[in-house]
Amino acid sequence: MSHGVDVETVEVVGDHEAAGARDDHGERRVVTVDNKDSADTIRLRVPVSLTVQDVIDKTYEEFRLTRQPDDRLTCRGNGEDVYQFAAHTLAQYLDEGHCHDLHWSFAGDTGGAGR
Amino acid sequence: MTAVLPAPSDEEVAAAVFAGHVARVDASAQARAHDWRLSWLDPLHVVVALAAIRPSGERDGYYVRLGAEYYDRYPPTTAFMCPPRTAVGGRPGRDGWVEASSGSRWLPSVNGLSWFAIHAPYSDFPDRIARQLVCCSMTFEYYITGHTPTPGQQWQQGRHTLGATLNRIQEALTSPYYAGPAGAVDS
Repeated sequence: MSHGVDVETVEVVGDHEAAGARDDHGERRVVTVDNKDSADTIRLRVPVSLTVQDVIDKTYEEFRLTRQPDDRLTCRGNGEDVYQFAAHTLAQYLDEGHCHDLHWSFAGDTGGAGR
Repeated sequence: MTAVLPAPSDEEVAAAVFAGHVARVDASAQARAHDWRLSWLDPLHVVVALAAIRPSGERDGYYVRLGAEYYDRYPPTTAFMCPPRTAVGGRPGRDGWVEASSGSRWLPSVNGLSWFAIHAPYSDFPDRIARQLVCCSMTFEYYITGHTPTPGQQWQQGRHTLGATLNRIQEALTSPYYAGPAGAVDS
């Protein structure tokens, strides 16, 4: 489901912003996403009241991609799948201890030796 | 089954697209994080120095040559290379870069990943000349050696850059399946 209005409130910020950085009131956090298919990296300043799905939508929009069934979006630190938390707000996601530095890795599927 | 060799890309167009992508990757935060060092060989080829990490923590350096002969309708041609060296004592020098062969100190050993392998030598090329194969859908050679990736695994022009190739290699060489150099021979 698209959250067009909410995604508008997600800002793309420069690389001087550290992953996980918070603003003065802790109401917004910086989510960093490494695109492993292109080597591009984006940094998004996100109100913690938005959902993880909002961040995912903005990520696809910024990378100009449509979601593929075997895409992987994981926490860089622990490898945990991010998509499963799509319905959580960013505040809930953090409160529950998932990916505290908010640095994610995105990649499509890869074929190899077995195929 | 061996695939048919596709027609090469227009050299001028391929070189321009490749140069743009090399500059983009070279300037990226991911290149800095992994300490990739990209050096031009000619307008269609770069060599990338990167580091592998064994499960023990020991680090090994490798050189990967990426080529734009079919770029970017296809991924870059990809091979692990032996660097030039000067002659020392009875050991002859090596003027340029040569493809690492079976048992080389410059060829990594990675076994057990479903999405990545390195075969040396591999004989199922269209020209039947056995050579190294970096077996992953982000290398050109994968598509001419009879592999059948799903649509989601295939290289997509516009979505992928040579950064995808480097990232897959880097992930394999820092995985628990990386076992160090394939051998001790400097060739």
